[in-house]
Amino acid sequence: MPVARDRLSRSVDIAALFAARRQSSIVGVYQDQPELDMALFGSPRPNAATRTQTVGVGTITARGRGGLGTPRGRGSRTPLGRENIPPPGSARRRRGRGSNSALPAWYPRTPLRDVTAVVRAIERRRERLGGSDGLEIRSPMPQVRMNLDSSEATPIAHLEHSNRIMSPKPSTAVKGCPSTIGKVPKILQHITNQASGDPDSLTPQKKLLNSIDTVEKVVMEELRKLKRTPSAKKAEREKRVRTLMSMR
Amino acid sequence: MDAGSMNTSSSLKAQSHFPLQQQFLPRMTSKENNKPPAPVELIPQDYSLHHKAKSTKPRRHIPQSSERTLDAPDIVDDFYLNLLDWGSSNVLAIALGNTIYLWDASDGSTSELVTVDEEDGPVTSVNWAPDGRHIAIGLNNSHVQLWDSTSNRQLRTLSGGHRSRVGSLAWNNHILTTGGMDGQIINNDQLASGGNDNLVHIWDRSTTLSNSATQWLHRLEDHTSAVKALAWCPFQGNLLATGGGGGDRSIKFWNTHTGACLNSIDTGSQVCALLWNKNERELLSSHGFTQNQLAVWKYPSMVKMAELNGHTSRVLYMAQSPDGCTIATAAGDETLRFWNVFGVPEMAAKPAIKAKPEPFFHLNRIR
Repeated sequence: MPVARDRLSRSVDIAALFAARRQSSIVGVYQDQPELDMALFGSPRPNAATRTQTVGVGTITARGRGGLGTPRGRGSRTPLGRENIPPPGSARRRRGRGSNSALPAWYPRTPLRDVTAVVRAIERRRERLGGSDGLEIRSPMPQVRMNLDSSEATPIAHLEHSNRIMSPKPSTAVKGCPSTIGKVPKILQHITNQASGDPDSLTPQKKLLNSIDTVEKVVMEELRKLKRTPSAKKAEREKRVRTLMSMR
Repeated sequence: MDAGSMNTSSSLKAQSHFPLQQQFLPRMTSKENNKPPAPVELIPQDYSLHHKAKSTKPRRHIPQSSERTLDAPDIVDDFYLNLLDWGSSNVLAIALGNTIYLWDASDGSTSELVTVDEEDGPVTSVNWAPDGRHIAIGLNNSHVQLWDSTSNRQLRTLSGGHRSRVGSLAWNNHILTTGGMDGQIINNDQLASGGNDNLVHIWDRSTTLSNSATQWLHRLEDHTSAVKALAWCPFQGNLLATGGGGGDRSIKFWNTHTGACLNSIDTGSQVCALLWNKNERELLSSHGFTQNQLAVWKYPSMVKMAELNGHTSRVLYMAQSPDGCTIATAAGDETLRFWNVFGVPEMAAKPAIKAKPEPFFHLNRIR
């Protein structure tokens, strides 16, 4: 950026400056800096082979001795060096994009802008969704995008709101006799239909607890019924006989 | 192989010597009592908070989450760089890609110091001079630039010294020490350096100026991985804490007079940075693979007092506020976070009137 030569002090808009810089760097000029990329990132670029920079290239390949022979491929920005390589088996949850940023890709980036509220909201949401369902942060975001200019508070309100809508039905997996498993979905449907009468008075947690109790009762009933069948009784008798015989 | 010659001096820490702040080795035993420590347990007058009676001190609560998070886009996620420093004028400098931004902690304002050209950058190290006004910048092209932050002018460029990127800078009064990926250290003066060769060297003016075959005072070989985390203890002279990389994961303590290792503890993850609490006997470590946590340790017992999570990527860069209470950390997850680990500023600002003066404090001491 050309520097103004007068001595007037002008207030600098960091955000605009950064956005403009990012635009130009995305559009331009990667082939001018093969040395830099080689030195820092090690990803092979077509021009690099023709360069004969002694220190830069030699150093990098020597330092990559920790089994780094495979080229990382273009666009990968992992710097070389033994300490930059994660240990094998460490879970690296990539979010499907190149950068490992805490903020979603659509969020406008401004250097050193206070993003405390946003990051906290994202963390809270991630905790709430949990690891079981793989819901991405993406889905409710389009709503948030429109309100970004106003304040930081509204995105959070939207996130919370959409969360409540999307909270999953109490889909507890019941472990029990194999024969009862087929019936469980029917039982659950029955329960949720019953509960739909007064949804507002109970929180999702209470609803879940109630349904768990109901499911337990029903399953225990089923189990008892099964035990009373003649084949079950016969099997039990045989088992007892076997135990006694083994003790002789 | 040539692995030895490729050693990266990834970290430098200079121990500054100011008159009237020479330190005696404090007596460890008196620390455990509740009575005010005897005057022999010596800490320079700046740190006389220790002298207030421990029994009346309120319990400190360490918040488990960061107090504030700032966006840090384009920060380079490289273990061997040092991109964050907090100056004595309470301005934080952070290098994001090719640009250095200054964040004034007193009012939260951001300004840009400089953007270097694409061929010269990115910025690989940042270090404020003790005056809080001048700042040294190391670049990937091996140059070092000196800037005046109040006038936003570049004062000097030091080039021709290193042949590769300058990953580390340390000031000692008016002497700037620079460490390069080529393994050279220039202008060393009472310095500790850690490298990718798993070694820690202690350089002393007396030995470096002599004609001996080895210019270092001590070579510490106990770590089994690269050493980037280095911190001189503010309350005990010649005590150095070092932290090892991913294969080592330990924090070790050294007496740099004798070169002896005093203690070693396993932290479980790659140690990226270390900072001492200026007001209490505590050490803060920041970690990378695989837990990305901050850990607060009591010294010398090395009991872990707190573990702080928040960063989702290695906590590579750490700096301490001038008042010693707040820690700033930056990671490859492109956030800059602030933690009130070492207390609230009101607590630290208590006047040191109650301090019992050390005997002979008015005289220069010989260590």
